[in-house]
Formats: sequence, C-alpha cells, structure tokens
Amino acid sequence: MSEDDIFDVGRKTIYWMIAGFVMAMVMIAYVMIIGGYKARLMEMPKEIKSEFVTLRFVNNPDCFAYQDAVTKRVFPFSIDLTKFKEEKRMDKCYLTEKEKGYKTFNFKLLLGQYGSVETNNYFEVPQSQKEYGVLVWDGSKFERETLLIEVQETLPYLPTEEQKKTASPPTQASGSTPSIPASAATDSD
Amino acid sequence: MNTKAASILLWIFEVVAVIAVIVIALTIAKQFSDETALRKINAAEDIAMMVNTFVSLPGDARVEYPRDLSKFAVALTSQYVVVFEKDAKIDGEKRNFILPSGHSAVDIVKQKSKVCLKKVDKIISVEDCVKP
Repeated sequence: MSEDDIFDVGRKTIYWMIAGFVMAMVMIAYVMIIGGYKARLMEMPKEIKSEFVTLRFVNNPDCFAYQDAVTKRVFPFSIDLTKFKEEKRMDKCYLTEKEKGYKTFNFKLLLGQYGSVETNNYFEVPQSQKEYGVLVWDGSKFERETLLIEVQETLPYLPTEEQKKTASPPTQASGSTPSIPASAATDSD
Repeated sequence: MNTKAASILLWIFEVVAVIAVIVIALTIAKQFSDETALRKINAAEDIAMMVNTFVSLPGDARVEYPRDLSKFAVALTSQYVVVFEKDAKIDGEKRNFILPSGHSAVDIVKQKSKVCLKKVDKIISVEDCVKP
C-alpha cells in the first residue's frame, strides 16, 4: 500500500464522518420544516377557539347567564349579577389545571361598573379582546352593558412580575357584539 | 489493508448511505402527506370545538359531524376527545377542553361513517347517527 492510498482511505473516512453529521442535520431540519408547515396548515385561529369558549360565560346558566327561576328559561347573552359577584363562580364555569393552566386560554371578564372576574390562571397578559353586548340582570330588571373579555392565550412559561407590568394591552378588539332587540331588555317571560 | 478492497467498501458505503437518505426523505414526506393523519387532526380539532359550543348552549342539541369518520374511532371523556385509528395511546390525536362543573362528556364510537354529538341536560355524548 503506497502512502497516497493510505491518505485516500483516511481522507474518505473523515469526509464521511463530516458528511454523515451534515446529512443528519439536514434530515432533522427537513423533518422540522415539513412538520412546521403541516402544523401551520392545520392551525385553527386562536380567536375562533377562544370565541367558542367565551360564549359559555353569557349563555350557560352554570356560568353567568341569567335563568328565570320560574320558567327556567335561559336568557342568551345575559349576565346575572348575583352569579357574577359570587365568589368562586368562575371556577365552577372554567377552571384550568392548577399547575399548567397558563398554557391554555384564560380570561378576564370586565363588566363596566360591576367589576371584573378572572379565571384561575390569568396573569394579566392579554393577547386579544372580545366584546359582547349583554343584558345584566340586577335582581329586578335588565340593563344593557358591554362585557369586555380579555383573552390570555397560551403562555410558554409563567410570566414574571416585570413582564406582567410591561404587558401591552391588546389593541384590536375582536369578537362580536350581537344586537339585542329592545323588547328582550324588558322581557320577563 | 488492501487498498482496492478498502476503496470498494467505501464505494458500497457511499451508495448505501445515499440510498438510505433518499428512502428516509421519501418516507418522511409520505408520512406527512398522508391524508388520514390530516383528517384525524381535523376531526379532533372540530369535535373539541363542537364540545365547547355545546357548553355554550343553554338547551339540548344534536349535531352530525359532516365528514366521514369510518376510518376512525372517537372517544370522548370529560377532559378531552381523542380520535384514533387503532390504538388511542399510540396513534390517537388528542384535544383537551374544559367543562363547567356538573357537565360531563362520555362515550366512544368506532368506525362509523356518520357520527353525531349530542347534548342532553349536562351530558355531552358521541354516538352513531344511524343508530336504530
């Protein structure tokens, strides 16, 4: 075996070690790119998902929707003030996992002069807002009010106090403000 | 070591390596382009959203899922929905949801073309639409 031949075998071995590493990296990148593309292709807008979740606050009597005690009729897009002010009511309606609940949707409901309630893992990092026109039942009559819902979407980790302070408020209001017929406001059924 | 033998060995290794890379790349591409997997993800996503919508309904309801689910099984629990082909633990596509207290979701349907979601009182269930 000549000196050149020995170098040739050695060179090829080194070449294939490097090429093997590069090919492995390329394959990993290829999988990640295609996987990412597929995920983006299949992704459902978070606004739509959160919309479906938030509707329960104003339509489900187990949340805050007003239900007539006699007829059992539930008034859509209504808020019963008694329920809204009830402690731990939100936990009965929407309770995220204690440890990792920040990785899913969390909400803060602001009902004008009546105050606000929030879900158990809401950390004041809203990413979007929704607005619903609702009827507020104060125990004797309905009053029109706007329910503002701040949506905190998936957080990758628990925010620090500093991040909470600097969290920019959402600028764009999304969601729907359904028109409520005037008759509904006085409908006692 | 014989130089010629070493050279041939390296040449064979090169060819095998190139073929292996091509096969792996094609397999991955085929896997990702598999329509079944996409339909499974879509179904899980859709059903989870349907459950959330049902929670927002004050009354009872029954909705037919508009796509053919004859290749899949759909299992509903109070925490999540899982759509799978053979084994929920291996190839299941799982989507979580949060139900208000007192509400529950139950049942499983396997390989039915028409699948319905039903809400009666506070129980959400999944069933075969053409059930007698």
